[in-house]
Amino acid sequence: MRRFLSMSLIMGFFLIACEIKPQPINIGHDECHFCSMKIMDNKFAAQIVTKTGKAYKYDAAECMIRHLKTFDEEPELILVMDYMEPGSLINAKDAVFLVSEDIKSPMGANLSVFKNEEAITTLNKSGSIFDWRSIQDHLN
Amino acid sequence: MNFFKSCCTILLFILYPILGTSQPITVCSTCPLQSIEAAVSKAEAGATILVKAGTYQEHDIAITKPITIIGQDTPTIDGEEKGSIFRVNADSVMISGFRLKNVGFSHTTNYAAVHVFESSDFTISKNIMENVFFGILIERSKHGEINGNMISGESDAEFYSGNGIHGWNSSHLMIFNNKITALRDGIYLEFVDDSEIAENESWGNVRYGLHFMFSNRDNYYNNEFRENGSGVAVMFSKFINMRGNRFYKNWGTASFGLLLKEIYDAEIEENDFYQNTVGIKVDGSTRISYKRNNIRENGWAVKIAGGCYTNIFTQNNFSYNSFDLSYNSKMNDNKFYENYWSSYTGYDLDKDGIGDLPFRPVKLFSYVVNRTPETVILLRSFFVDILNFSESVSPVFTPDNLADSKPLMKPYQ
Repeated sequence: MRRFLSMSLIMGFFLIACEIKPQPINIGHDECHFCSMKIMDNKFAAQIVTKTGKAYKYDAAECMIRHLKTFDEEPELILVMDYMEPGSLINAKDAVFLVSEDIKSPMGANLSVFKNEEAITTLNKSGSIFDWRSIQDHLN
Repeated sequence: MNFFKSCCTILLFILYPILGTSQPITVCSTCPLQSIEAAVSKAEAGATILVKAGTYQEHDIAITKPITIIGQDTPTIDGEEKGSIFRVNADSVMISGFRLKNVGFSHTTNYAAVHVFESSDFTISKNIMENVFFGILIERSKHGEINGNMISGESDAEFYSGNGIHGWNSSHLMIFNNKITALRDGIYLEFVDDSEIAENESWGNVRYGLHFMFSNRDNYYNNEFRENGSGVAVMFSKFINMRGNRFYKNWGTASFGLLLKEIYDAEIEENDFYQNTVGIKVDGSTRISYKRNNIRENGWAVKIAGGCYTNIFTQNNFSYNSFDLSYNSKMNDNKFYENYWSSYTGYDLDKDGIGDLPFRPVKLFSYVVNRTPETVILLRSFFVDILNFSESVSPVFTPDNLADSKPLMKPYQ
């Protein structure tokens, strides 16, 4: 019984150690993996976590999407910052993407990310709206 | 008589505009006009407004006609953190001699001490801007002169700061003699073409001293960039000329004097790189010529990554850097010749000023440090010296042709 307990404890420890989760983005210190720019704006940052738990951080969603094209394997997590809630990461696959000249993103794509289309309506900015699949084609 | 009459009319036509603008509108605390906004709305096109010393609590002063606004004895305009201070949307506007302070901060709107949009031929000179979100914000404008301003943010606000001089989608800007500190980027230019940036001083900014994105045919010369997050970043741009600039003391794990990312056809000449973690970091850049630069006392003098083609390094002085060059890609016809390397130990038996043996600037150990940065602790160890020596005797890992075939014996003057 005791052996089982200690075993499960050790197993549990390993499970925690291998848990795939996003890393905090240290604004003003971390560097974008793709373009080497310092990540300065928590309205636009993004992050990818691979199946092995390696986290890549980006200063803008456009950098992330461009880097994603070079991946051989689909990553575990693809996360983007919600423009309305700076600092909170949301799943890119469920997010809504806005390309608008009124909102200038760090890498020149004028791309911002929202939880849903209602959020964009409340901001009242003109531009074109994309989902995760179509924004990847748009940025080609 | 008829002749005299026509002469008079012509004279009147010539004199009228001069007479019409000769009387400036004065603003002061005891004048009939006590606010700049009132003076602006009263002024006709071409008028001059003279603002006397004092403090004016005003913000979002909209300028929609060509006028000149001059501050006498540096009057203060306090925006009380409510928004921008001047909003210029007219051609031929001049704003000079003010102290502009306390610009508003917002997540969604870029407030600036002076916001110029869709305008041309503007001049913003000799102003002091304090506690700004953005200092001077220029959008869709051209032919502007920004001269002799002192712009500072609040560095403790860190990433909540904007840029000192921010140009977007503009051209023909002359940015001279400004001093910029404690902001995000000192000068940030995105889609800004045919502009000149000279004699500015940019220090203590959180990200870059100067930052180009998607900008072409720009010159920057004789500027000083010191103790910024990193010195200057030139990204996704073409035909940028960089001459006589000073890149000093950009220390930090990811800091560099100059970053080049995806740029083409640039000239980097007569610059001084002193005490930076990385002097020049190059990532995917083509047809760049590096001439007569002083690269001294940096961690890495030059760090090259990604595909770099047809880059030429000549007549540069590489003095007392921990690593002269690090390279993580193939040679790609980049040339090194007639540079001075302080770590060159060869002889010059024929006394022609050029070392008899080629110099290999890439040390084997720099590959190890690139993969595992912590190993840098072994830098001065005997073991690493042996490693580097054995590699230099018979190169196995370092590209065979990566060498300066004509190393100078004395620094280039």
